[in-house]
Amino acid sequence: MSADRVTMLIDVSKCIGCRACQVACKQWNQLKAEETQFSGTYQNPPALSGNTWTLVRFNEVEGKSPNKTTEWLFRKDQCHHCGEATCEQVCPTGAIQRTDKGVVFINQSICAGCKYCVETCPFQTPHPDHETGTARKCWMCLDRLQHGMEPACATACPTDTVRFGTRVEMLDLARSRLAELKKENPDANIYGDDDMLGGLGVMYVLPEKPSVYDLPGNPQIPHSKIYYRWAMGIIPGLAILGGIWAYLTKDES
Amino acid sequence: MGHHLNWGIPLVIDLFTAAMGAGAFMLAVMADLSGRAKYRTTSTVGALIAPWPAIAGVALLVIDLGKPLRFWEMMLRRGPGLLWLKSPYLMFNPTSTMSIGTWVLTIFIYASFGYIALTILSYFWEKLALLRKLMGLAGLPFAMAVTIYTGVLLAASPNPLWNNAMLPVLFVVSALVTGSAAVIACMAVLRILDLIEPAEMAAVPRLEKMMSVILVVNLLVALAFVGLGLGTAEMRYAVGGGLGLLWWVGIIGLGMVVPLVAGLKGGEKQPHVSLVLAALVLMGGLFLRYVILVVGQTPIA
Repeated sequence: MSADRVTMLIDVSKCIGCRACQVACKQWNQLKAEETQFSGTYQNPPALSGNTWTLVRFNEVEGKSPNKTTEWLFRKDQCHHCGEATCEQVCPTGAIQRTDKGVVFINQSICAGCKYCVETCPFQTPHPDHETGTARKCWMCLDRLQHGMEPACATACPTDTVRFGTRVEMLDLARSRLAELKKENPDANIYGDDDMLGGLGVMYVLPEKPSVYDLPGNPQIPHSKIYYRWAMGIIPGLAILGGIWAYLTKDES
Repeated sequence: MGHHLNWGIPLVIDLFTAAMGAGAFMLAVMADLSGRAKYRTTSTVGALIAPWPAIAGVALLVIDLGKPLRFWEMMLRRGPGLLWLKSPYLMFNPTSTMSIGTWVLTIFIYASFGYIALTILSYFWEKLALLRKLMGLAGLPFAMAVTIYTGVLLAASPNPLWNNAMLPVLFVVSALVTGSAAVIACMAVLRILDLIEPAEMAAVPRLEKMMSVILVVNLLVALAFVGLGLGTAEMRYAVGGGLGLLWWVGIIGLGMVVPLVAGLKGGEKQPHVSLVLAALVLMGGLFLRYVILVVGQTPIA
């Protein structure tokens, strides 16, 4: 990973759930609105899709103190631009590419719509779009980055929940925020530092454990187990083939 | 199942037919290598049917793409800067099981056509027998990979039903079973239509017994697959609440246990009986892929 890798830091403790990031993303990337129905939560649309590349998730959890019976947790969800990206590894067409600054994007003129990235992403961020036939997701507003601007969501955020800069800057910022949050909450953590999937290009500072925010605690790239899985097929397969051959050959009738 | 499936019924059918074709190919090569005249018809029938279900499966895979006309993007790499021109370089991504599968299926289909040609030609020129066997051996790794890659492909998903270590074993064993069933079914049909001599059916009881033994393995692997995933809600939905009847009656009962018991008894059966038993095995193989693929994509509350 190059030294000038860019990173987004989402400090969920500052999020007020205004969804300015969602709207800015839709506007800049000219993504269609979705018709939705009330499903008992303010989270809307209910999930990421081919036309919703970022989404503020609204989680209601039990509060910790008696005068705070319910806590409302907000988390901006989107592609994490993993340092070792599952989607990039499993793409059979080479449509999923990475810029030298670490932005992972799906080349829409190559993607054939096989949906393998959709099925395997540990964060379930790429989604098929039925109009284009391709998989689509956040591309960190690559066109803005190329003109020296920040991604639309980071620009729109009114509370500095969404910060954008070099990886070194963002890691420093994350550490100082973590120290702050640790004072009140021992479970506070940085999600997506360099130990996770080669470092997430979109990191979080979380006041609670990742599972409270519906994030996988220890996401893995599938490639790490591919050889073992092949062996699990080849060894029994060869054994049975040998058995068939012996059975047919030793037929004396 | 009101929600949309990313990988739908075309993929279910492909997982079944491609494995069946590859299984028939492997049986044909083993029958060929046995060197016994008794299995000459078995080998020829297996060779002749092998590529067609795989081709049908590949066609369905292409149709199921979001952009079917871009299937070639999986095979040819674009040249830098020449977006409208296909570069002469082949597209291959070794970390992508989908990419491996693309090539394995392609090579298997070509190899099985080579094997068909040599199988037919060697009826007229017996000296080609050695070349035919070598062609079969060369195609064998690709046939086996066709059956295994699907299990590895699904294992890349974080979904607990697909991320099951027994899946590649289950698929390779099921491929050998359904491939054998396809060969038996075709021989039975040929006999019913009086296109082959009664003497050529002599191999069938032996093949049925062999299939029964592999069915025992298939049954044990299927149970191990269930046991390994029993801790997850997805598996309990597949074999319990949601699709339990299909799993235990359709796949395990009718698709495995009934033909297994009937085949172990041995003895020559009426071709109609052989056909029905083989059809049960094939049906079980198809439902097995259906349950695994559909439940794997069903959100479970």
